Order: sequence, then structure tokens, then C-alpha cells
Amino acid sequence: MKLKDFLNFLVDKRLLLALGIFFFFEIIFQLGIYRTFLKKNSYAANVNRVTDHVIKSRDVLEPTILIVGTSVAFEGISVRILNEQLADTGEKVQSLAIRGSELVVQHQLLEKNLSYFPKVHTVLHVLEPGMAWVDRPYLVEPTLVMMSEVGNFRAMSLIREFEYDVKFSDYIFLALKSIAYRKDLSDMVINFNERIKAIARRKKNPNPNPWDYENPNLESMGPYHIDSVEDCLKITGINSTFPIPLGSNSDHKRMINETCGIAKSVPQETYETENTRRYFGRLKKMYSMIGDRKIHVIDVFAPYSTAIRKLNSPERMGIWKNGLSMALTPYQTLDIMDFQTSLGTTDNGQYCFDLIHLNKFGMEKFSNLLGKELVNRFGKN
Amino acid sequence: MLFNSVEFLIFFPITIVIGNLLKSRWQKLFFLLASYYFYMAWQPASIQCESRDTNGFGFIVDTLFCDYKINIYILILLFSTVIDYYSALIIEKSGNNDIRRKLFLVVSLVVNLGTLAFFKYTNFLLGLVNDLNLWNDFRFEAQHIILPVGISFYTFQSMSYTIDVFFGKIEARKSFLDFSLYVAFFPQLVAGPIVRAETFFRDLDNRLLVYKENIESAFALILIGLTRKVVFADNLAKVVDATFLNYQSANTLELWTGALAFGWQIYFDFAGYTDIAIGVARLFGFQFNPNFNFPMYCRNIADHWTRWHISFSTWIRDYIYIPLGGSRVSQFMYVRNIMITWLFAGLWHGAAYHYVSWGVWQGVMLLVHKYYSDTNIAKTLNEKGGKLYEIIARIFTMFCLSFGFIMFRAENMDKAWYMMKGLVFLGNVNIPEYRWLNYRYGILILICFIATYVFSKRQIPTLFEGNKFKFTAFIVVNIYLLLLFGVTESQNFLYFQF
Repeated sequence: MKLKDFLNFLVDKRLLLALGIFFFFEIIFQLGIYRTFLKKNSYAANVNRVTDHVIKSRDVLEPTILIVGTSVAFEGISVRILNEQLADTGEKVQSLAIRGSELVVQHQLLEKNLSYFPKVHTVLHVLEPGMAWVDRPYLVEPTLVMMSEVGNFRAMSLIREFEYDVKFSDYIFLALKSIAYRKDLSDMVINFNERIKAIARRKKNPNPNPWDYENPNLESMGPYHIDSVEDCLKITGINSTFPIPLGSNSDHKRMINETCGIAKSVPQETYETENTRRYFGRLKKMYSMIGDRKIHVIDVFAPYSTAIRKLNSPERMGIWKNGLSMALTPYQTLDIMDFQTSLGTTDNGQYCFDLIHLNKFGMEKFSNLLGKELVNRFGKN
Repeated sequence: MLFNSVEFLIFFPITIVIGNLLKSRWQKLFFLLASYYFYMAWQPASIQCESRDTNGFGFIVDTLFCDYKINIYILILLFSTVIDYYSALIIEKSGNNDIRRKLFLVVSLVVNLGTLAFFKYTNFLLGLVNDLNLWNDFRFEAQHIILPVGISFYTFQSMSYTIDVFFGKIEARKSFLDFSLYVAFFPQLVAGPIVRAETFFRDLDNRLLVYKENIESAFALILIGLTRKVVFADNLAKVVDATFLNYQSANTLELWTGALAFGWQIYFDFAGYTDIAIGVARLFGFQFNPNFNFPMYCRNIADHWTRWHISFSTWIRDYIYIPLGGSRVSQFMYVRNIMITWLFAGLWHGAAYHYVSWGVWQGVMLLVHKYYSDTNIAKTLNEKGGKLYEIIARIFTMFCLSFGFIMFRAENMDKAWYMMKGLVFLGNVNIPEYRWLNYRYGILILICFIATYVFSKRQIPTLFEGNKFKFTAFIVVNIYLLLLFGVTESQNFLYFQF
């Protein structure tokens, strides 16, 4: 073969037309035209829905306190209850908590959106000290998808700043929306009818509230009487003969089992490791960005099932406190609100949807307690 | 190095550009070194650089690979190359009655088959001896032997060269560089096709004649090969893996779904690999013959074996079946020849009873087909059965093949036997829950059938004739199939294990 022939082939009109079609769709995706068609509750759709809704609702709810966190904050805190409690203080709370968001995503969200909320003086960062450190050295697809939505080009430098082991394919994923959206597009092709119906339903029933979400889940872990992670895996495992209690269902049972599986993988070390150093190093980057904006950070330790409470020893909490102090230096000292035992120290299953997340009752109780604490803190002003 | 990996995406264009800037011997040398690099980039499953062996042969193998990226199994390839190169030269130089002719043919066969036997069949033979219990309960321990990737393919290719020289079908190649490249040329090195020396050297001598049409069809072959592998085979693998994992709880319909899906999976996997191999080779000026010709769309088992893994089926025909006497012998000898040939084919695929059983199944099917097609009923149906008979025949063949594939895929005969009983004796034919099968796979299988139909009508080189936008549509469809349905985690090609 002569290279000239090969180069001629590369500029063949038919090949260029095919690439043109690909790039035409890529431009459409980059312009954000597809965002409204994303699958409900996908990682990408969640990031867009939460941020868009919160920004659009500024006229009604201009926050002074912003909640940041993962699904623990998303499911566990009612923005409605907090605002009702803080009504007399002049403070307003809004939430940017997103399911499954690693620190790098939370950082990117705040970096991009804090400027929309000039009155914010406090960030409530909801942490889960009983669970695994979210300290992965490599990037996972949900994180890449969310970062791509918040800003794909900024994400490319941010993943290096957060010291991930970045692969060439991660850059390709972030650069090309056609790749970031591939699973969503595949679902669109396969479930076309359902997707169109979902879009129509969303247009018919827009969210009238200034907050994005309030936990409606009534199912509870209570009737399962789970005392430990091992117990949980036995009771909710595929081969378990334990009957599904009234008020629960097979999906709920599966979800409990999944969170038990995650809890099983929680590092048990009670000393500093490479993982903890990586986690708090990343946290320092995020807190520095917040501190530079003269915003105060309150670290909120969320409540969760008593079945995993024992995993969190005093030694482990010591690591958390030291790590958080280091991350907040030099902007402020450690400021903690610890609600880990706020829902009881014996079986608190009635408040828990699964091992990590609260149900509606748990959310209401935790939000009321958090609201009171915030009133105590800010009510005096 | 996998064709569907990022490493290959970098390696391939570099090879194209540098290879085409060089001329003559330097070009061949470059392709040979690139091929050896391609081979050495394969990491044997036994090597774990994090927990490497600390002594013995394992230490040497691990250190060479982990620290210096030298795959020691390249030495076996080089050994085979040197022996066959010199054997062929000596065979050619020796007179017809010279004892050295036969001696060096035997040397070549013993070295190639011996190497293959050592790496592939040692444990099988030890297991066989243990099963026969010849020495009063004395049992041999299984040896830790790693099968070098591609050994079944390159030993057969290299061996067929000396046999062809011996029978005077081709001349021995004087250039060691040319012969080394024939054995090691990377597109066909690890999983075929098994290229005949005659074809390879014909192209090697006229290599620069690659026209624009060749580039277009090569590009199309590479793209469709990737789609077959990453979209069809790897998605079907999920159905197959689930069935073979949960075979004890699967009902008859689920087992048949798994068996049929495996037939299609292995076809798309292997055909995808050879499409890419042939496409890549075409960009270097080599016109390898097709290795698959829509084998799942065949009238009978004999038709199937003219379309499936053609380079292998013609190899066993030319070097085993015909030398045994072929079909122009007595009935007994004919049956013997068929069974020996297919027993060998089963063993070639793997040193285990289930592969041997699969080979026997192919032999039995061929014999049944042969004797059935000689009957008056078959002749009448062939003449008067029309389209309906043809469709029934095609479906029946597909089911027979899938039944045999159970033996091919199951890890052992106990499992295969259990599943085959489940296929035949309809214990539970309730509509399956398809716990792992959603209609995504239904759509995929439908696309498989449509694609098979379209491509069986016109092969790739002529597919884009006529409307000039066919090529554009072909690329767009494949790119979006890969993008939307491709399995991104690199999956090994199934035939690498052979």
C-alpha cells in the first residue's frame, strides 16, 4: 500500500460524510439539546435536574445555607422541614446533594454553582463516617458521567488535580458526549415508548416545590430485625427463606442486601492508610475552594442503621476528626454536628430504608433534629 | 494484545505508517519485529506481576515479562520456525530416494506435534492414564503448564509448509526472513486463519499492489469484525454465561436459548476476529481467503463445514482426511476416516473429554447426513420439498449444531451431559422467566439475522457497489452499534484458548 492511497481514502467524501454525521450529533449533545431527554434518575439526569431546579427556584428560595453530599443527604434531609424550622431566623436552606457523587463531583458542582448563590455563608457537608471511604484511585463511570454533565472540559483538569490514575479512555469519555451518553442513548433506542411517555409525564407534572426532592419511601428495615451486616446478608440474601414482611417488597429486600454488601467492604482499619490520606487530601481541595469564598463549612455526621454503628469505633472517629481538621486548615477550625446516634442506639430499623439510607420517617426525624440544631446556631443572629 | 484494545489502536496505525515508509527487506524485517512485539505483548494468565514466582522457571518467566516485557513463549515460536525452515530446505535439496527427505519431514512433524502435545495434552494424557487406573491406584499429579497463545494455529501453519514442500506442492523458501514472517505475521498469529504458504508467499512477493478498493474493504472488514465481537458476541456472552452458570435451575427453553445463543456467540466472536485479521492483513497487501461464510445459515452439517472455520476444515481435509483415504474407500474405512478426522478436530480444540465428544458429535452428524442424503426420501424431499423443506432443514441443522455446542462450552462432561438431558427430555417447558434475558437481546438477535441475510447475499468487497452512500450508511450504523450496544470491558476472543 502506498501512504498516498491511504491518505486519499481518509479524505474520501463518503468517509467524511459518515464522520460529519457523527460530529453533527456530537455537537447537538455538546450544546445540551439532549439533556432534557435523559433517562429519569440516571446519574446525568440527576445532576442536571437538581442543579437546574435549584437555580431556577432562586426567586422563591435564595439559600444562605447549602447542603452538599451524597444519597445519604439526598434521602435523609427534607429541605421543606429545615426551611419551616428556620423560617423565623431569616436563614434559607437549599440542597445540592446528589446520589452517588464522589468528592470530586461535589467539588465541581460547588465550583460551578456557588456563584449563583451569593448569600450562602454556610455549607452543610453531610458525611457518612460509618461507610467506606470514597477514595477510589481510579475513575468509575457514574463519576465520569456526572462530571461530564457539570462541565466536561473543566472535568479533564479536575481529575488530575484530584490525583486520580487517569487513563486515556477517561479523557475520551469526558471529551465526547456521544460516549458519555452511550448507555442513555442505548436505553432510548430500546425503551423508546417508555422514555417518550416519561418525558410527557414530566412536562405535564412539573415540580411545584422550590426543592428538588423529598423522600417518599415508607418501607423500613424494622420488620427485618437486622443486628449486624452478617445478619443482614443472611436474612436478605437470594437464598434466604425469611418471608418478605408486610410493607416491604422484593426490590426493597434486594436494596437492603446491596447496601449490606457495600457495608461488608467498609475498611475496618482504625489507623491512617493510603486510602484515608487520599480521601482527606481531596477533601482539603474542596474545602479550600469553599474557604476561598469565605464560606463556613459544618461537617454533619448523618445517622444510619444501628446494624453498622459498631463498625465505627472511637479510633476510626479519631481519624475522621483529625482528617477533617487538616482539610479545614487554615480557613477554620473543625465544626461538627454529630447525629450518628440521634435515631437511637439500639434497633433503629423503623427509620431506615436500608443500611445506609433513611426512610420517610427517618428523614422527618433527622431533619427536625438538624433544623433545631441550626435554629440554635443561627437563631440568635 | 487484543484487537479490541486501546494498545492495538495505537500499535496498528504506527505499523501501517512505518511499514509503508520502508522498502523491501527492511519492510519485512519491520513487520516481523512488529509481529514478535504483538505476540510478546500477550500476558499469560499465569503471570501476576504483583505476586510473581520467587524461584525456579516461574521466576525467570515472571521476571522477563514483568521487568523487560519479554514473553518467554516467543522462544517456542522461534524454535518451530527454525526447525521447519531448515527441514524444508533439506527436504527440497534431498533426492526422491534420499532417506533425509523422510527423516526431516518426521523431524518437523515430531517437533511441531511434540511441542503442541507437551503444552496442550500433557495433563489430558496424565488424566486419561489416571482414569484408566493402569498402575494400581498410582495417580499422576497435574502439571502446571501454560498453553502459549496461538500455538495450535502457528504449529499447524508451519507444519503444513514442510508437508507441502515434501509433496512438491511448493518450493522451500530460501529467505529465513520471509519464512519467519509467514509463521509470525501478527494479524493471523494467535487465532488464525491458518494461511497456506502458497497464498502467503504469493502475496508477499506482490505486496505493494493495494488499491483504494482494498483499503475500503479492509476498513469495512475491521469495522464489522469489531461490531461482531464487541456488540453481538460480547452481549450474547451474558445470556450464555448466565445459562451455563445456572444450568441446574434452568428449564428446557432456557437451556435451548443458551445453547443457540452460544452458537451465535462463538460464530460472531471468531468470525469477528478473523474479519479484523483479514482486514488488517489486506492493508498490508495480503489477500487471505474468508474463514467463515455464514455458517449458521446452512442446509446441513456438510454445508456447515464448508462455511465454518474454513482454513481449519480444509486443513484437516487436506492433511488428515484425504491422506487417510477420504471417501473413495470401503464403507468401514470411510466411517473410520470420518471419525478419526473429527476426533482429531475435537482434540485440536482442547485437551478434554468434552471437546473430544464434540468432535465425535460432528463426525456422527456427518455420517448420519451422508447416509440420510443417499436415501430416496431425502432425494424426493430435496427435489420437491421446496422452500419450506429448506427452511426446516436450516433450522434443524442450527438446533443440531447448538446441541453439540453444549459439549464445546461446558467445562466438563458431567455438566454437558446434565444440560443435554435437559435439552432432550422436556422436564419443564414452562415459558421461562428469562431472569437474565430482556428484549434488548431479542433486538440484538434480530439484527444478527438481518445482518446475516444482507451479508450472505453480497460479500463485503462488492457490498458498496452501486449507491455511493451505502458505504457511509455502513460506517454510521456500525459506529452507533458499537457506541450504543458495545461491551466496553475488553473481552478475550474465545479462540485464543486454542
